Amino acid sequence: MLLAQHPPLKRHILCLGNALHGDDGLGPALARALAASPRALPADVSVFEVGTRGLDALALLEGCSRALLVDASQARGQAGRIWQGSAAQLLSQWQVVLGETATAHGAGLGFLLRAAASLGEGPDMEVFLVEAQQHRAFWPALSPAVEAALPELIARIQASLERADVV
Amino acid sequence: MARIELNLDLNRVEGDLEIRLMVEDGVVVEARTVGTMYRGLEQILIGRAARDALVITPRVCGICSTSHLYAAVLALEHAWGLHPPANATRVRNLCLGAEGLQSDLRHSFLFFAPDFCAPRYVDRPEYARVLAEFEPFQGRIYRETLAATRRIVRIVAEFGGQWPHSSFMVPGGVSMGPDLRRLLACRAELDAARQWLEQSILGGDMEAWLALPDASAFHAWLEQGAAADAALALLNRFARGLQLHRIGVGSGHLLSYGACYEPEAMARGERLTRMSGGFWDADTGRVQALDQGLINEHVRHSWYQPYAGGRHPWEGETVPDYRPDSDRYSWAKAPRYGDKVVQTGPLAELLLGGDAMLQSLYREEGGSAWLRQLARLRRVAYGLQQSRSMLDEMALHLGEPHFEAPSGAPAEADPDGDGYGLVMAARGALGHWVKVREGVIEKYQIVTPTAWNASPRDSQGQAGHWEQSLLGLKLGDSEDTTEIGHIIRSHDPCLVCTVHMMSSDQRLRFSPF
Repeated sequence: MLLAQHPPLKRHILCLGNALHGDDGLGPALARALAASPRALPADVSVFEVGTRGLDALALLEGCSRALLVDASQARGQAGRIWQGSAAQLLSQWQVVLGETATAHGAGLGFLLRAAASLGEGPDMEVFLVEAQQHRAFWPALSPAVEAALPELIARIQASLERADVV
Repeated sequence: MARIELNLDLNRVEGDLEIRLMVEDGVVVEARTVGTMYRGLEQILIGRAARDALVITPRVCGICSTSHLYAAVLALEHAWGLHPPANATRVRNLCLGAEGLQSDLRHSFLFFAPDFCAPRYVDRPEYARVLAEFEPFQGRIYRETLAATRRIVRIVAEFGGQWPHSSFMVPGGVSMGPDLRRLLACRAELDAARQWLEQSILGGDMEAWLALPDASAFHAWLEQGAAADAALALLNRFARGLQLHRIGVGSGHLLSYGACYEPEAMARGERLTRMSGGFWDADTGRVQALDQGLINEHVRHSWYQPYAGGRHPWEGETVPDYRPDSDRYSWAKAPRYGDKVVQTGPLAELLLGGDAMLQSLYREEGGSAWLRQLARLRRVAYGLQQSRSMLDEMALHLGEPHFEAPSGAPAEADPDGDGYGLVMAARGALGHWVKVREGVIEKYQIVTPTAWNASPRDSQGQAGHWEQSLLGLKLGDSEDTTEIGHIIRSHDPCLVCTVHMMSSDQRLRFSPF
C-alpha cells in the first residue's frame, strides 16, 4: 500500500534583468550560460529568466523548496564584485524604497523580496548580486568586469546547491 | 496673482512619466503629460514576417501582454480573412479575462489604495483601518491581493504555457484547446478569486453586486451587513472623504471597443461583443456605433517626424524626431476619434456596455477619479462572470476544434492584406493595425489605451484626457503631489505600454555594498 508519496523537492534559479540595458543583463546572461551547460546544475534545478518584474516572479517562488535569485546591483566603483546572502540579510541592510514599488512595471527584486516576506511563506531564498559597472540603455552586452564575474558567480551558485544537497 | 510652473517627476506613479503644471493661486491652469522615452515597437516590426507580431507585440507590456497578443492575432486574421473557431475565441476571452483580473486587482490594491496610507492623512477618519488593510506589504488586503493575483494568471499559463509574453494565439485559432483537466484547473482559480472577492472586497454575493440597479442601491449596499466592513466600502468612504468623486473628470467623450468577443459570431466572421462598445459623444449626449475609420493619430506636439493633421493608423508612421527645444513635448502620440479627445478604460467600457449602477452614478455625480477606480473594481466582477461563462461553454463543446487551418495549399509566403484588431485591455481600448505586403509587415501601428488617455496636445491644440483631468485642481501644497497622484493613478497609467521602455536606472538604484 502506498501511504504517501512526496513529490521531489525542486529548486529554482530566478535571473532578473533586462538584456538590452548593459549590466542590467547580468541575470539573463547567467540564464543563457547555464542553459548552454545543462550538466552544470543538478537535475532538480530549473532556471528562469524573469525579466525585470518581481511581481511576476512571485509565482515562481511557489512549488520549490529553495530559490536562488540573481540580479545586478547599482554601480559603486567595484564592478563585478559579488554579494551573496539570504533574503533576510539583504532586506535588513538594503533600504528598499517604496518608489520602486509604485507600479507593477517598476516592482523589481526589492519588491519581490518584500512581497515574499509579507506573505510569510515560500522557499528558502538566497540572493546573488553582481555590482554593475554602468547602466547603459539599449546596449545588449555586459561590461568586461561584469562579464568576467560570471564564472565565479556560476561556481558560487554550484557550491550553494551542493551544500544544500548535503543538507 | 501667483503663477508658478511645476515640473513633477512622478516616478511614484510611472517611471516614464513627467507632468508639467502651470499653477495660478494654487489652481492648475495648464497641464502637460510627458512620455519621456522613445517608443520603437512599430519600427522594429517593419520588414519582419507578419507572424513575428505574435511574438514581438506581447513584449510591449508585461502587464497586458495577452491583450497585445489578442489584438495582433485579430489584425492578422482580418488581413487574411480567417475566422477562428468558437473554442478558440473562448480560450482567448478566458485568458484575456484572467489577465484583466490580475491587472485590475493589483492596480486597485497594490498601487491605488496604498496612496491613502500617506502620512498627510493621519488625522482622517478610519486612517488606522486604511493602514491595516492597504499598507504596502503589511495590510491584509494588500497581502491577500499578492496571493490572489499570482494564482489567477495560472489560467493563461494553462493555455499559453506561460504568462506574461505568451504567443499561443495564432491566425485561425489557438495552439492549445480545452480539455477536462484544464477546465477544472481554471475553474478552481476562478472560484478561489470569486470567493476572495466576495468575502474581502465586496462583503456579499457577486451576482447580487452586479445586479445593483442604481446609485441608491449602491450606497445602500455599502452600508449594510458584511459589505459595510469590506474593503470596497472602506475605499469608497475614504475616497469620498477626500472628494475624489468631485475631481479629475477629464474628457467627457468615452471610447470602448466592446468587451468579450462572441465566440459563435467570430466563427462566422462577425466581430460582435457580448458587452457592447461604441463612442459616447458628450457634446450630443448620444452613443455612436464604433467606426475604426475615424481613429487617427496626431504628432504635432510629439517627437516624431511631423505630418499635417491626424492620420489613420494604416497610414501612420512612427519616425522619431527628437526636438527638446521646441513646443513638442512627448514621445506619446495624440490619438483622436474624429476630432474628439476621448477617455477609455473600465469606466468607458462599463458605461457604454450598459452597467446600470455606474450609469446612474455617472448621471448623478459625473465622471471623476473615484468613479474610474470604482468602475475598475466593478469590472473585476464582470471579468469573473465572463471568464466562468467561457469555461462553462467550453465544457459543453469539448472536442470541437480550437484551430482552423487556412483552406487551400500552404502558401510560400503569407498573403498580402490590411487588417486591424481591437480589444478592451485592462486599461481600455487597444488597437493594432497591420499592412502585409510580399509576406512581410509594411506598416504596423499600435494605439494603446494610455496613448488615448495620456496624449499630448493635437494639431488643434486640444489637451489630452489626463491633461484635462488635472485642470482646475486645487493644490493644497505644491510640494505635495498626493492629489495629482490620486488622479493620475485613477487612470491606471501605463506609460511603459505607450513609450515602451523602462529605464534601468529606475531599477538599479539600490546596492547592498
